[in-house]
Amino acid sequence: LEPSSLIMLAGIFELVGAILAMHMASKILRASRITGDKSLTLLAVGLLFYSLGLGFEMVGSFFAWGTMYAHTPRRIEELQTIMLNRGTLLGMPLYTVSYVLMAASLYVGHVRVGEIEGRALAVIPFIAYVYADYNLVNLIVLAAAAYYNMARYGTARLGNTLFYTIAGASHLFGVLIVFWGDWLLLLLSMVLRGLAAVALFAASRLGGGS
Amino acid sequence: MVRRKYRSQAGIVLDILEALASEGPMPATRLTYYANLPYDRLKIILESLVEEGLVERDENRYYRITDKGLEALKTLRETRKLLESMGFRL
Repeated sequence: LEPSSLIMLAGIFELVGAILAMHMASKILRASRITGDKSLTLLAVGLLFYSLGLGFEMVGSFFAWGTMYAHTPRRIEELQTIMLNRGTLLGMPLYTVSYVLMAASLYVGHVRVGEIEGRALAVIPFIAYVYADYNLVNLIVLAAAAYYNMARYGTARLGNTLFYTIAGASHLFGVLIVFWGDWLLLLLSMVLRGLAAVALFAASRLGGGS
Repeated sequence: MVRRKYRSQAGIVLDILEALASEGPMPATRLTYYANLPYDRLKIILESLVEEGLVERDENRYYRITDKGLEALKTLRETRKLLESMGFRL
């Protein structure tokens, strides 16, 4: 696959994922209003934050895709890097909030990551640092959320296993890109975040996903 | 790993509404069996359901599900699959 196709694919997955996450959040919020169950409200808000994160990333992806066909004096790789990371950087804090809410309030510290490698990201080292930090923090929060879920409810269900695994892999790729500097990892990471919401929705349609 | 069983407020409400929808009107004492709850705790939840208009109480102190309650039950049944797929127990 060409980078332009992957950027478009990421944008499409992020769009579909955002819509489905919003849809699931609205269903859970309605159930929360009916039952007065506050934990469902937290879960719904968590999914809403996830959806917003995907929305920001989607805008970044589509802008980046657009720059491939723009006439600009700037080097296209730099422009795309900025475009892609703008959306992702805006989305990352929302993912963090989302995972924390979904795990019913756990907190983690800020984690630093070492050297940056890779020419494409080196044009904006600050973004790369923050990007990796956010991904690492998100990975830790997500792992804690998955553990908390298991400890509380005892069993792993297909839906949350898929969601946590795919979303976790997406953040792992987000961290690895700083060390490997491979564009494919960045795009793969974005595709996977959208796919995580799609997988969760699909599992829920398969009858509870035991 | 410590494995504990939890039952959510949403799950209790779902049990109450399902019992009233399938078995028809009944007194709170009989509902304790379907909701698997002590009477005093069930009464608190039933009062909130009455306030929300999901359940009504007649002069014989029988509780019955309202049209709004049936709509709510439909929503909860739809959401149950989604929540269970995420590991939440209803």
